[in-house]
Amino acid sequence: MAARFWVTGGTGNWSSTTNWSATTGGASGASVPGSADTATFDASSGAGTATVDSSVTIQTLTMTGFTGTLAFGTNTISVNSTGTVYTGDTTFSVTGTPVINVTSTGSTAITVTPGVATEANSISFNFTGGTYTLTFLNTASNSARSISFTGFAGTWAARTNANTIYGSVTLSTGMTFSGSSGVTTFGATSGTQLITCNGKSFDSLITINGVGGTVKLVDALTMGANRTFTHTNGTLDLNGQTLTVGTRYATGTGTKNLTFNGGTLVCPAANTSSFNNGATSGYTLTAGTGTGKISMTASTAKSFLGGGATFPCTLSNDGAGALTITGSNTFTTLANGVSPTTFSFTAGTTTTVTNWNINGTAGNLVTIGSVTAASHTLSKASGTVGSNYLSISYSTATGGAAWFAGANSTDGGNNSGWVFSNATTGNFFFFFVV
Amino acid sequence: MAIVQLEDGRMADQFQIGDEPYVLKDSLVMMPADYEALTPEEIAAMKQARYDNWYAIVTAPPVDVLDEPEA
Repeated sequence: MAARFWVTGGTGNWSSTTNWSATTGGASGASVPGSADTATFDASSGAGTATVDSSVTIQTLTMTGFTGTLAFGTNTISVNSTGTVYTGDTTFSVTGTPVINVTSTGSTAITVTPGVATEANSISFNFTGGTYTLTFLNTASNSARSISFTGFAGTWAARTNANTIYGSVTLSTGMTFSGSSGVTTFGATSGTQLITCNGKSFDSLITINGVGGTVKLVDALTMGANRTFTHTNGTLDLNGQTLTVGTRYATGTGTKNLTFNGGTLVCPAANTSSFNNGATSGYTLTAGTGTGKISMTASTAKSFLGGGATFPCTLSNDGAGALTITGSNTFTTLANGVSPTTFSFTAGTTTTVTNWNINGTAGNLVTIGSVTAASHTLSKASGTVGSNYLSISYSTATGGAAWFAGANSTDGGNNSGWVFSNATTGNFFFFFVV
Repeated sequence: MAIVQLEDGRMADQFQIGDEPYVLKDSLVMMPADYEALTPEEIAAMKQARYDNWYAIVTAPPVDVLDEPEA
């Protein structure tokens, strides 16, 4: 193995011996690093542009203190060793399509430390094989562009530090995604970041925080049970897939959009903010194609803090636990997937719906009430609500629609606007006098 | 559901599995050649395995965990 150091002061090609030395800052003329060599760019490498003029394979690449530019074009750098195979830095720039392939097929541990690169200077990494334990993005604020684990069957070690991804992520079916307490931020400010989980649980906190960017699910994304999903900036496109968050889905301060396109957001946690639109300003939701759904599945009490937003989707209580809904929100549909269960609205709020699909069954009433002993309001502009097997109290039904609770429903008192009989479906006869 | 071609050369077999309220919307994503090498039974088994894993998560009894701070 030989160590090679980039020493040119100006623009030069990777393939030229005039740019390489056997020592840092030493005389040029050493051989171009190959598959048995290491390559280093450091403070003695100048501030010029190093052009990767063909795809290369080396053992390791170290980029510490280099103040120039690494110009990839459409070529890639492959590192084939073990141990620390890549170390990045904040000091240099990249151009082209920067991709580093980590090609080990063995089981010896590998570390990749990209550094705190900006979005423009971030590098993509492909982990193409092996069963090793990978330490990657576990240094504070480290970042990468796209990451692919296709072919990798090892373990991505737990990350305790926050990191940022500016590109797409593809997990592999054979890999292990270790539970990580560090926040993974998807931060691209343009274009679309694709997330492909291939059935792997994405077991870290996730934040969407790229002003102007879009994060799009390619398949279902399921988080670890106690991980929070925070939506701060950018568009999250469920793309017809199921997103299952951990502790909660929460909005952060910023401009953010949730687009369903037929997808489902599942909030399975039982807590007081399972869905928490706490940063209401700048939050929009888009139905897109198909019918979107927010499914609250906890079997014990949970809360939906809507923040007064308009939800162009179905909100469904799909667990036996009581669902507390705060805020004066608007829903395309309110529904229940199980019974018995409970909907509890904050007193004084008005919940507006296009469709009311809440029904119990014999012996399994669905309870409609307020959090406190005062009324909430339900509003539907037109048509007929035809429920049954409800137990209703402190509920004002209004808006223009006819609200039939059903013949088997129970009037718990303090209600207004509800008709405790079945919806009228009889024939109408019209007599005309001429 | 549908099989769609992705811009990066992969394909996605989009599927929906399960009964309300526990319906999983997911995709099998891979290169077309890898997908074509699978039998219908293998594809069905992969989809069922995805569903079984997900169903276990969303129907798991609530556990008392300390909420992590929001980012």
